[in-house]
Order: sequence, then C-alpha cells, then structure tokens
Amino acid sequence: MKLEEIKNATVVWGALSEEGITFLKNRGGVVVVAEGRPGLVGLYHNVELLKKENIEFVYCVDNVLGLLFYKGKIGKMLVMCKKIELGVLGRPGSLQAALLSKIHGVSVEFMVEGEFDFESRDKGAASLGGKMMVLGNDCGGCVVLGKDEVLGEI
Amino acid sequence: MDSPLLFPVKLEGSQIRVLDETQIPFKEEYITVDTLGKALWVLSAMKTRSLGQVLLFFYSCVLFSDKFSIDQISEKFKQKRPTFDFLFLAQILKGQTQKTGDIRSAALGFISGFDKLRQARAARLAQMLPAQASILTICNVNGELIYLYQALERISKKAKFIVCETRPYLQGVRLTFWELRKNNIDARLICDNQVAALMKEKKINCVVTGADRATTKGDVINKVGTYSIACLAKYFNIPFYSLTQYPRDIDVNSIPIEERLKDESFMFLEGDFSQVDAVYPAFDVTPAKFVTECVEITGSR
Repeated sequence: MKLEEIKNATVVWGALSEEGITFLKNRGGVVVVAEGRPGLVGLYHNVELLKKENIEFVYCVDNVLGLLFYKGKIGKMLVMCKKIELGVLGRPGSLQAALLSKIHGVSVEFMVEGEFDFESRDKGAASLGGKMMVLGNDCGGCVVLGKDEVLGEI
Repeated sequence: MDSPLLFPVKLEGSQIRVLDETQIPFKEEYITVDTLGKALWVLSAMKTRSLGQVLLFFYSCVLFSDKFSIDQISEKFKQKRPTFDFLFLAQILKGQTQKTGDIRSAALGFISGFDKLRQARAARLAQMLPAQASILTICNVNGELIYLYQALERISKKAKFIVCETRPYLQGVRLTFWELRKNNIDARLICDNQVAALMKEKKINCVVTGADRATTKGDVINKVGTYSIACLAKYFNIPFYSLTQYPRDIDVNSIPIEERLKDESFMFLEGDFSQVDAVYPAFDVTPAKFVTECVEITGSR
C-alpha cells in the first residue's frame, strides 16, 4: 500500500482483543498495524488476527507513525493496555503512541489487551525476532529494556 | 578514535570501494564498484547511504564522466533515491570543476574540505549542548557523533548517547551503537518507541539527528522516525538539533518522500511475510517549529 491510499485510518497499538476487533469492525476503514517493538506484537498477534477477521490493514514499523500523523492519515488511535484500573498501564511504546495522537488532535481509545505471550519475545532493542543484533556479550547494561508505562495525563 | 563510517566509500585507482553497511556489525566488507550500473545498484540496495551516497556520487562522476555527464549521473542517482538532492550535488561539483579544471581534483578537494567542515560543525554543536549531555539520536551520521564526543571532551563536557534502533534497517543498532561502543563511548540502545518514556523520566536532555534535506526556513527531512522524536522533544521541552548541509529555498512539502518496497519493513526478520501488506516511507518531514537549531555545515546558521 502506498501512503496516498491511507485515509482516516485507525492505528492499533498493543495486543488486540475481541473487543478491539469489534471496535475496528464498527469503525471501518483501513487499520494501521504498528510493528510493536520490542516483542513485535503487531506482527505476531495483530496481523494474524486481522487476517482471520478479514479486516483490511497495512503494516508499518513504529517509526512510520509520525509521518502518518503529519500527513493527516490517522483518524483514531486504539491502544490496547495491560490494565485499566484507576489509570492506564500500557506496554512499552504506549505512551509514545498516545502522546503522538494527543499532539496531533487524534482521539485515543483505551481497551484491555488480548492474550499475547510478551514474556517469550524480545525485551529490548538488542534482539529482533529472537536474533541478536549487537555484537559481544558485555553490553547487557547498554540496552534499555522495554517496560510498562503509566499513561497518567493522556 | 576512528570509524569506517567516517569515509564509507573510497576511491582506489579506477575503482570505488563501498563499505557494505547492511552487513555491519557482523562483517566489515567492501563492494567493488567499477561501472555506473554497479554504483546505482549499490545505492538502491541501501549498501551505502547518507555521506556514503555523496561520496559514491562524486567518485562516480570522477570515474564515469567519460561516458556520462555529471547531470546525467545525478539524474540516474535521483531516480534511485528521489528524496536526496543529487541535482544540487551536481551543481556543487560542476562549480568546483570550473575552479580546478578537472573533476577528480574538484571532487577530492571538496570531500577533504567537507570532513573539516564536519569537525568544525561538531565543535559548534558541542558549545550548544549541556555540560552533562544525554543525547538522543536516530539512524547514523557517519562518525560525526564521534567528532561531537571529542569536541565535548575538549571543552570538559560529558556525553552519553541514547541510540534509537531505527527500524527497519536498524542503522541505530548496527551502525551508530556499534561505532560508539567500538570507541568506548557511553551509549545506550533503545527501541524507537521508548523515546517518550525516557523523555518523561528526564533521561534525555537534548536530541541530535542528521538531515538528508533542509530548507532555508529550517524544515528538515531525515530518516523516518525523526519527526516523532521532534514532536516529543517539543512536548517535553527538550532541544532538538539537526545537522544540516546546504539548505534550499524551497517548500519542504514539494520534496518527494521515497517509498521503499514493502518487504523492507520486515528487514532482518525471519518468516514469510509476502501476504502482509506494508507501507514504508523511508523519510519524514520535520517542520522548522520543532527544530531548535539547524547546525549548518557551512556555519551559516
């Protein structure tokens, strides 16, 4: 898909649940699936679910979201969260997804995430899809691991 | 301190040697280029980029100008990487050639001078950064962060780099993090989407990025992901510095954004993703209002 074909899309961040799927069906339009580093939840979970549900989507690395906002391609942000109790607790990158939406005047829908085994996936930028991308074994402390994020003020 | 990325493309006799940046950090291999066709393949396959593509263009003009004019070569380069301003590079080279009388000495003279300008730019930027700089960066600026680190040391400032991995090609991990660590410079690696969380925790106090294009108004085009960082930096009141060269008096939105093949979104991942549609614009636009300072190569800004 080319950029010009994307209009009023819904971005999905985090692991889609059944409730999230229903939301996407009701809203209609193309869904943008962000890669969702470090665990690649977009690729390993959301893509498969959307294919099964026959919902039109386009995949992108997380870095592309900014340009999509800049070009006015995004109409809604759906953030699937770890917990929504007295505030929102999101997976790594949730704060960034929500803040970029806020900065661009795009409303955010928070929902509780679906089941995805984050624990068995990459935890930080040192590896991608289980493959080490840095050399040497002495750089453990040099990688800032992804951690849950409190989305207080969004 | 050194990095092969400072000069990733070299002219050796009648051949060009191109550092294959897609193989780093696992292998340091050079590709031999002896035809314009090979140069164009190297360019389109992302074997080199940024400063490397500038060097590749100049050296291609040196070696292949018996068969192609500088303008023809620049047009062919532009077809492969439409966002980058090869036509302007051609103007620079033609101007230099008029002064020196031949393309070879014009190209070599310009390149040698350009490296000195990069070192001077790093020294100017060092003056602007905090005394304890915690510098976020994305993609790779071909060794200029090493120049920056040295410049900061000279004025007794401390620096730590926080490097975005830079999906999908992972230039942050494979090039920037690698060259900084190789030179024992303090660096931390993060996923591209961790920027907001770290800014919120006050772990970043300035941003330094490169720029593939810039306008005289201060707008910048750089590796996709830069704009998000600039927005977040503005939101958290963190200064954003862009290393620019030769800004043009044009509308930034008139510059085409190169869209790469969808398969490249899955770079370095194993599996069959042929049935997954994807969009991969290689660059994004950062308007001037998000840029604290364009640190221009000529020192004009």
